[in-house]
Amino acid sequence: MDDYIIPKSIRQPSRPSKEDARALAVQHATILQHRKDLEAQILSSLVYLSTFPPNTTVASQPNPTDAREFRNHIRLFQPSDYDDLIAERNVNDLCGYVLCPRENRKTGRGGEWTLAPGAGGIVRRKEVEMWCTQKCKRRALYVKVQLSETAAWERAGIPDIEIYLYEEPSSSAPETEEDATARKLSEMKLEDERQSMRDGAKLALERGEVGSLQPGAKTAVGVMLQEHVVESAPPTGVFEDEDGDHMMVEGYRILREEEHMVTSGTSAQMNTYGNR
Amino acid sequence: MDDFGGNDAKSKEVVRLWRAWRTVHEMIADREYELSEDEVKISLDRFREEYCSPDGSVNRAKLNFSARPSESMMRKSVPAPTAANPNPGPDCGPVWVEFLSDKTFGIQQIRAFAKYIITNNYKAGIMVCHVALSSAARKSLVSVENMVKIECFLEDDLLVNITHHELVPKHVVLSREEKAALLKRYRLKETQLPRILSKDPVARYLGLQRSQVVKIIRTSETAGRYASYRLCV
Repeated sequence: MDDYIIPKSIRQPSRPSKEDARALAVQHATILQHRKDLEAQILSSLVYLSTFPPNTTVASQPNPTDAREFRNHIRLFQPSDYDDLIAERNVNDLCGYVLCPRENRKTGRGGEWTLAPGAGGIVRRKEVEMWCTQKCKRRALYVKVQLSETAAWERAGIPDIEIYLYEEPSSSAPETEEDATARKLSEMKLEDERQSMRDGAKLALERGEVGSLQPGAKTAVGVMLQEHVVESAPPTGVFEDEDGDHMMVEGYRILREEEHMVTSGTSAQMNTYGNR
Repeated sequence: MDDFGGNDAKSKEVVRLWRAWRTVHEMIADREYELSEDEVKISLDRFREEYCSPDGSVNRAKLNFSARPSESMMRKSVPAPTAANPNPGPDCGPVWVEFLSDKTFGIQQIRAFAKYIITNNYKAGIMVCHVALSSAARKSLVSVENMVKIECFLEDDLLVNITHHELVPKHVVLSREEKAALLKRYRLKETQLPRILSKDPVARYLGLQRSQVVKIIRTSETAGRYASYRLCV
């Protein structure tokens, strides 16, 4: 009893060393900092978009540069951020739809509710005053339903989140040949190799690998392979037993009845009776 | 309100602003900035004389004021010496209080206010506005926090000085030394104290910051007075 060793399973876990604890703290701090950076980025996008658009004159035909900028900046927004953006644009006397340069509607003074025939009777004044027209509301909400409730830091590394703008139903102008070619070119997958690499990175992100959080900051993991050379020959699965190989199951011999009785006594006997 | 048009609405507005103005002054004085008694307690008539234009409306630009910290406040705000900075100076400075009349409040107004504070070398700013901030503006308030301390109060919240209410006990902010002495006396760690939120109305009134300790003195039927301490979180 003197040399009784406590089994490993019930021993107190050893306390992490100072370096381990520090590394763990740094890892968590990095994740938090990453989140904060993303929040700051969203806020600055919001400020940028709150005075948009610089080049567009009509909301139904947005300038391509403006549209691209809008789609890039809006990518990481949550629906609540988008609501903030609309409120902020209204503070700046602009229509809530980011690509509309006009002022929002002003219904004059009065109570909390107002009559708006286009929007379905009696509605809140605030909701009418968000937009310049019902059309802009439709365009803005078309974008909003594509935004995801998932937190920004869980989506930041995923490259293929695309926000689509509302396509005007009356775009009757026929597509010119040049435009069509350009569109097809952009749809073609010129870089299949890179695509597969991106897919790999995305899978890594889903697995929650830290290195994929910040592009460029790849951590080199020191991998040490230790190979054990096995000395003894593996079991062949065949015994040299003249009694007959037919009694072998995966290299082990099945006991015959009399051997049963010798090894396990009465219980084996009872078994044999039961089998009859 | 404007629909009535006449003097009634205007005089109501004047009374509201007078009360908010007084509460702000009391707040600044309670935070130990230098303000004399007769600067704080002015009557409605004197307020009308000084800050109203002839047509009876208040001139908000005149309401803005600044205050310098008093000696004792400067002494209290000195941070603990560190290896990098063995002789730290006081952490506080003059404060600027502005009454804003904007109908809507966004990030741009906040930015303009912060810029004004920084260019005029104030250490803190207090905005009194009569509409709520947009949520994006509130977020941006946090982002400028490490450059300059800006607080925002609604006019409606300042009509009454809450610390004068009979159910609100007396709150005293402890200085750094007093806090150290308290923790030593009771052999406590900081985290073992009861807590008070920094968004608590009284904490906002006193401008409490994280890790400051406030002493709360209540009257007690059995003990006469009863003091408790709370850590701001």
